[in-house]
Amino acid sequence: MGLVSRVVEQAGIPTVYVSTGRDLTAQVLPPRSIFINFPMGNPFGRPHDVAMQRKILVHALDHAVAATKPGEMLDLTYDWGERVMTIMEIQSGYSASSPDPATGKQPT
Amino acid sequence: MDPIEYVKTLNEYYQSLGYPSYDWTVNEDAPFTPLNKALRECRVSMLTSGGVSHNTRPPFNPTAKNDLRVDDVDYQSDAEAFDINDAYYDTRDANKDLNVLFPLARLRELAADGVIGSVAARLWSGFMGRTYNRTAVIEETAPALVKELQKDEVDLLILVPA
Repeated sequence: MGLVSRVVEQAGIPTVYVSTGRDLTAQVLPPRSIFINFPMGNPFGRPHDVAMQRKILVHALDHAVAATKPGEMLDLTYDWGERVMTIMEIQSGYSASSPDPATGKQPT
Repeated sequence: MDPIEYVKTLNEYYQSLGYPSYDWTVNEDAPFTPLNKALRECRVSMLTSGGVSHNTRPPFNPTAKNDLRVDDVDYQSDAEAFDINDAYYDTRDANKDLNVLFPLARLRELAADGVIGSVAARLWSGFMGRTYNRTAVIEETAPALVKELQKDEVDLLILVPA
């Protein structure tokens, strides 16, 4: 998809890329991107969390206006609230140590 | 937590399956077209690579490799009228609410509120799965998409990889 972004931009249409894979995005380098440290299937947050979905979408739009440097990546600071896992971990029945009883969070 | 190191994780994963190592594209610079319009004047389209198909179309192949299919999506579609088939990420939340991955309802709201000018008539879903044939993407499918975006007079494209 980073390649698609570059072809579209090259053809004269500005693009903005909403990434959950920081290192993947940094190496393919789309023209403009925002990075959000959420799981790969949740770039805009949780189901039915309309406010958060809108907020992240607005970040993407604002970055399309604000970015001036080719390849510029904006790091958003939202916290997923639990350990972010890859699909491989989920499928292999990944078991981390127990969540903190006070916060419910997995140790990171 | 620190961002997941997907490159390292995927390299190790592919190696454990006996696959040849993945030849990642690494770019040092990027093309750039300034957005010379205010957002409130922009017509915005959006593209997902999350294996998202409208329920009037065939499903995507969840383990696709080199799938060059790109669907157009009516911007007025109901977020509940889609199927998601993609083995490369956790689709459970997107199945509950497509807007976590492809926020078409939010995009329409931003247009209604005047934050953006309008949503383009067509949104897009394609480029899913693993792509080894990058030449086909760069020389055929992506330029074909550009032509359609130009027909719709799109000012800005949001890409959401998955």
